[in-house]
Amino acid sequence: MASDQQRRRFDEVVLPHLDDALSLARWLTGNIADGEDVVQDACIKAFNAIGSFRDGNPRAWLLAIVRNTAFSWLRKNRPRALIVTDDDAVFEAAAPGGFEGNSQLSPEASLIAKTTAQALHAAIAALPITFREILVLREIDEFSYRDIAEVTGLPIGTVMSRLSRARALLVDRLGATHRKQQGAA
Amino acid sequence: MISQDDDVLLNASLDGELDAAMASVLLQRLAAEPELRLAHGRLAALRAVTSKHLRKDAASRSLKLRVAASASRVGTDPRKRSFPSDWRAMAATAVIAASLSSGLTYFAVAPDQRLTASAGMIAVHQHALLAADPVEVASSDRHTVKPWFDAKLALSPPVVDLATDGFALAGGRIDVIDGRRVPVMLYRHRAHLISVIAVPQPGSHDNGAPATQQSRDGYSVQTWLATDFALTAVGDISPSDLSDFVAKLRAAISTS
Repeated sequence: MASDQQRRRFDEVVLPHLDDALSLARWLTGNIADGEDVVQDACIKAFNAIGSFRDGNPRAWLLAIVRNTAFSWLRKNRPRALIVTDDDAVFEAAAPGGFEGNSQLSPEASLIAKTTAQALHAAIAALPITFREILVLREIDEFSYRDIAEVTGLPIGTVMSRLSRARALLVDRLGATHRKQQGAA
Repeated sequence: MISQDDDVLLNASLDGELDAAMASVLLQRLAAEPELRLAHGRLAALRAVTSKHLRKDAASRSLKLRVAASASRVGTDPRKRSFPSDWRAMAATAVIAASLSSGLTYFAVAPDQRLTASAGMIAVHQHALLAADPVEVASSDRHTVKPWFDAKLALSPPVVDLATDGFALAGGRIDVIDGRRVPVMLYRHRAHLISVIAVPQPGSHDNGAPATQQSRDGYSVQTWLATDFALTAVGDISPSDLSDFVAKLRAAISTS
């Protein structure tokens, strides 16, 4: 049976961070309903492990569990979401120099700034999951690079390069949307 | 066309993950390199858009109830997940990996200063020096400066006067670091101006750890933690003078 102490600790450590947990789970699974299932699952795991959580960052601790749970869930329910394109190929496609001829267009920045919420969400949803998770941890959960490294178990250098690739892909896609519109106009 | 290293550097800058020295170098390069500036502009635009359109999802009442219900139903799991030990291992791995990673990455991130590492601490100070009037609220009375910040930013940074120690409170101003408005306190020391930049850091407190110190382009920079803020002092004075100031400021804040 769960002890009162265990429950109190759970209330202190886990419950304040449910929004963060849901935000990560939702972007990893692709929708809120599945995200909620993952969060519930992760919270049960967190509850069982709560006795051994001493100190440190409770939010990062919980989100590491949410992340593990989400990946297990994806393996079981959406195995195709986990097929990760070869990193190098994606890197190449999104190389910082990918703008080539357009790199002199400073209006591009102002057009990116006009991206709608819908277009941005679609672009993020289309990111490979390895990039998407880093971006979500940074932009939505507002973790530092070091916290992201702790949540994901990745070296900081990898966190940094994946984040810069994630953003390059977004800039590329949102810029390309713009170029397409320009071409059609 | 910019290199991947530069791209990572720009990202780190926008995320406030550069230490003051790296940030200062980047500022100079941005002024000199149009390509870098364009890339910076695109990333800054993207950041603005993401912070505008990406919101944390609020856990619904039903999810909270589900979580509470399932937590009270489960007993202690005899299989005992080993998350915490994994957790420690992961953290250690990250630290080791960070120190092993090569070249720019190693220099770009100062993990120990992640609470305070923020692009442009020196730039903030330079803004004060370049402004027609470095202070927006000119007062040596902390009871004037503190409420001013509270009214403008809904923040209450530590403000103390150190006139008797040779560092007179000149007033306060608001500057922007990585898109966030932050309070800056200004002190005068003889002919010099010292900026104290307070970056909100909820939950932090002065643990007595020595301030991190840097010198760059004639500026001394020191950063330490106070209650709910990471404080960075910048001034064109010697590191030892700044250390003296920081020690007095910390002592005054802790007794205020």
